[in-house]
Amino acid sequence: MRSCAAICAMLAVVAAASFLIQDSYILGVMTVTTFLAIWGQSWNLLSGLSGNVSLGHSVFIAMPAYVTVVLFQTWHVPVLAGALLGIAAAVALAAFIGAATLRLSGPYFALATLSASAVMLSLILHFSDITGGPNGIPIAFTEADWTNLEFDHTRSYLLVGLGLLCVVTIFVAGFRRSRLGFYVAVIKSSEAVARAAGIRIALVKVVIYCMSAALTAAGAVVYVFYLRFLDPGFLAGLTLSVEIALFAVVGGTGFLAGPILGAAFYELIDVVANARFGDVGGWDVMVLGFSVVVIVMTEPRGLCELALRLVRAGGAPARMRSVQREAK
Amino acid sequence: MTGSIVGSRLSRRRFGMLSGVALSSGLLPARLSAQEPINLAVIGPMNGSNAVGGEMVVRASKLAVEDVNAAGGIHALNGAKLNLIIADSTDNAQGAITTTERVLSQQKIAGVFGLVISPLTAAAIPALIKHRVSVITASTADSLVTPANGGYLFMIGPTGSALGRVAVDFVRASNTAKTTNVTKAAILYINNAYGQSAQKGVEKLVRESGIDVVLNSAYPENMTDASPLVTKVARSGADVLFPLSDVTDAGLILTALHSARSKVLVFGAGSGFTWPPIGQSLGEKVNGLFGAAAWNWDMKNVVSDPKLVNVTTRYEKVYGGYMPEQAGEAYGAMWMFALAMEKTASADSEKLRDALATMKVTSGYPTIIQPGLVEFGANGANPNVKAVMIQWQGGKPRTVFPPELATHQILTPH
Amino acid sequence: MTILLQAVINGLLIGGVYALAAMGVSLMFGIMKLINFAHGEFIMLGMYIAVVFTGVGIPAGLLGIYWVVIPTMVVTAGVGALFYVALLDRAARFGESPQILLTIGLSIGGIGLAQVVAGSDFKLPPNPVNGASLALGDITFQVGPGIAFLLAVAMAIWMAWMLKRTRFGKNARAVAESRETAEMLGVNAHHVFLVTTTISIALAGLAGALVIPYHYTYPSVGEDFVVMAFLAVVIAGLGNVLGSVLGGLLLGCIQSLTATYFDIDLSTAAIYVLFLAVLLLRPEGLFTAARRTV
Repeated sequence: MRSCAAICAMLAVVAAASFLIQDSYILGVMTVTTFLAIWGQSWNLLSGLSGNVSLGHSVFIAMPAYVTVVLFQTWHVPVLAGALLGIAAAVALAAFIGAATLRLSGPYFALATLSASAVMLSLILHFSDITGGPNGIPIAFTEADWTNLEFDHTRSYLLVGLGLLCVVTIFVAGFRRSRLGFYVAVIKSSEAVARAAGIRIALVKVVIYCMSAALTAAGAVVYVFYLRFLDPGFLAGLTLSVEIALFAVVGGTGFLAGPILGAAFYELIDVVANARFGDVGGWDVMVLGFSVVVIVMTEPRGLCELALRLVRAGGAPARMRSVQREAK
Repeated sequence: MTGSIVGSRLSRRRFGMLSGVALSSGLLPARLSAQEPINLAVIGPMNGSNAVGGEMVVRASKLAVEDVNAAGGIHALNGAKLNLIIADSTDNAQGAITTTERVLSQQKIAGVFGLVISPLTAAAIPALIKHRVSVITASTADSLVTPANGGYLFMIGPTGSALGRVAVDFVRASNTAKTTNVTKAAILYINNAYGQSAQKGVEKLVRESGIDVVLNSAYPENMTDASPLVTKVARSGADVLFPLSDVTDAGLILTALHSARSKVLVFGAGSGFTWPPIGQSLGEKVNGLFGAAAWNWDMKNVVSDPKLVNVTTRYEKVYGGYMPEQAGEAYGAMWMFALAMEKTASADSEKLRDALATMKVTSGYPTIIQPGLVEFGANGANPNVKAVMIQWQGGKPRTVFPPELATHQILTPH
Repeated sequence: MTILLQAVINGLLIGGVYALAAMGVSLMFGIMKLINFAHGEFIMLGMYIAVVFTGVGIPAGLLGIYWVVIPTMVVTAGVGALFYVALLDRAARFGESPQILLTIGLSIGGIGLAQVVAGSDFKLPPNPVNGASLALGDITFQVGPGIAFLLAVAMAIWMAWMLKRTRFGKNARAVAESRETAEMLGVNAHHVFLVTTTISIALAGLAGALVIPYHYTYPSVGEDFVVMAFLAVVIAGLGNVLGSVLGGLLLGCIQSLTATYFDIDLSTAAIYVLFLAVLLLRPEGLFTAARRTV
């Protein structure tokens, strides 16, 4: 709980500091980082803690985003209502996919989620009358209206994002201490033991999957209004799914701050690369990918663990002790 | 302030010294300090399948900016020079939004040329409206010239439906002249803003001219193999094919047609049929191929003006290869911005927008755009520009239709 | 009828490349129990290396460009060996999850690296194979895919012979059955893994080199092929190397037929749905005897 409080405090500081920043580019970068962190944190709930590596989480981003935006623009359903429907749709999708695939082991589950993600993209592109096809849907902005998630200043989205990240982090922290979290830990270490203890493995797994989907969806709906543009190649793409997984791994799946640190690390690379090398694409993705390789080979517990080791080596007592789980 | 000092007290020499001090310390109003360069931005995909598009507009924009500066800069602003900001939109909408936002918020931009590919241009519009900077574009999607662009988009070339239309007009003319006897048409279009827009124009016109549309099929942007499409075309019994394509898909379709030894007449519309890559990848086999173009280096209005010929020849000399479609349009567009600055004696992006919306240019370098004048009408469309048909001859695209812009004869269809 | 035949032929020829890619993935999984998510990037690497070699020169003649195949395979085999020695050898100790993440990281990093080093523009060295075909009556056979198909068949035959008849093949199958037992009997598992990896990656290089005359080369091109390869491998049955060849050909045909008769968008969805169905209903694969491998 201490690390959770520390993280929330830090996010509050960032929120306050944002009022001192006027450059909309920097605020934009911070906003993107925040939402990537939300997705990484939600992903970690499923995959880091439970061990089912999902490579198709973008379905829980694309589906609610499209539901909300299409309802809003075509049928004038207010965004907040549409968002709830979108999140519900994501949960239903998770229940469906989860029931079918969670009994598969490691690589098989990963491949199945990957395929689900590809099918989703295919469907979005095909039903272009509703979804706008590959051109996506631009979100018309008429006037600032918070009930429709339309803010005219980037900072507002950043603040909402930071708040959401806090909520998600607190949820994940609370989850680990809950009975459900305990069941998940048992399942992860040994399914046989869990079964013997009477834990309903399939049900637990699906519930986690649905929770993860809901949190991811919540972030997605807000983010899409920040972008003001639904781009299927990005939202439903394979790359985003894989990147989300990689943030959490790079940061450290056993740490509450892991996905946040991973997302920040990734965006930092992007910004630095843009500044140093102009717009030569690929640096951010390259560094992210190879960082994962380095981390898996050397410190599988991630950057947070590295940071902790430095702090301890520096002689200071470890202030932020987080509940450690083996990243295996 | 200076007026009262100059009045009676100081000699002219002291006034000169004082002005010098005032100038360098920025005390004089900005209008008279000639050293501030004015930023114009060119944004487009520098990577990915449409990288050649980004490359050509950057080259042409550089040429135009150099020419403006060599001619003394913006005279109405005391010879202020233009400065070109180049940015990579990447080849997806996400990147286009981020890049445009970044470029517009990090420095003062008077105007933008871009973003080459219709979906990218569409994605950038909200940022342009927000920062009140206008874009002159050579993208063609009809959906771009609608009120949704807030008055900040000016399409210097013909629309996608006009490109499709010229291909159909060409076939009709050919049928009338009894050179061909086409009765069944197949349409294949890339499933993006450009393809959807061009397709509408083509389908309607084909039906109106009494030709049957036996196949009208979209294909995805990331298609890797066109042989099923070609088989479909064969299955439909079409005798003419209108492919509406970007760069890589045009290459895939044409090679699949070659492989299948298809006898179908092909009239392509879209960058894929007029930009350099198709000439490079097909080599000799490209000659005889027809394509609809928004601009071509050897149209009558260009070759009849030595100053314009000088531009296209210089481009060819510096970069090797003919001056491609959007390069010509970018060159004209940059000069439009310069002329707007001359007219308003301002580098303020809003004033320039207002000027562009009302200007009518009939002389100077913008006449590189056919038919030799540029003005923007409702929603930023160019009411006078016409698409042209080119035929590849001797490794270069030559203008063969319509007659008022054509400079070459048609070689017997392949 | 001609249309149907043509669609099937197109499908088989395209399937040849999928089969080559699938063989590499299947071999590695069968022997080392490792799904190499980066296999597509090794194909991409093969493609770029081949393109670099074409820069040296393309001899005249229809098949001139194919001289690059052997040098490309040699280079990629070397990369494969390095891949094993530097990464896979140590990673074998980690659990499943880290291994998955390792190859995913390599995959994504590889794409980024290609973008940075080579740029994202699409490359296709001009050559006579592109657009060339042989005609038999009304049916045409594209030369490029055709050659890839022939080599896939050749490699499949070689692989079958290698696994059944050579000492290495026998050792490899022993290790696949049970590593401990095999080691007790004197088989050097590390050596087997090293050679397996080298062969697998060399096959990826081969696939890449065969494809550059007619398929654009760009950083994420590996994804186009490897997804099909994974699907083929799972549909056939993980570890069933020869089955995966059939799987690749089958997928090529499905892709071609659905695209010709229906919609090209749907062809992708159709294949994924088939994949999911197999995964859920018959996870051991369509071409493998009912024996749970999950």
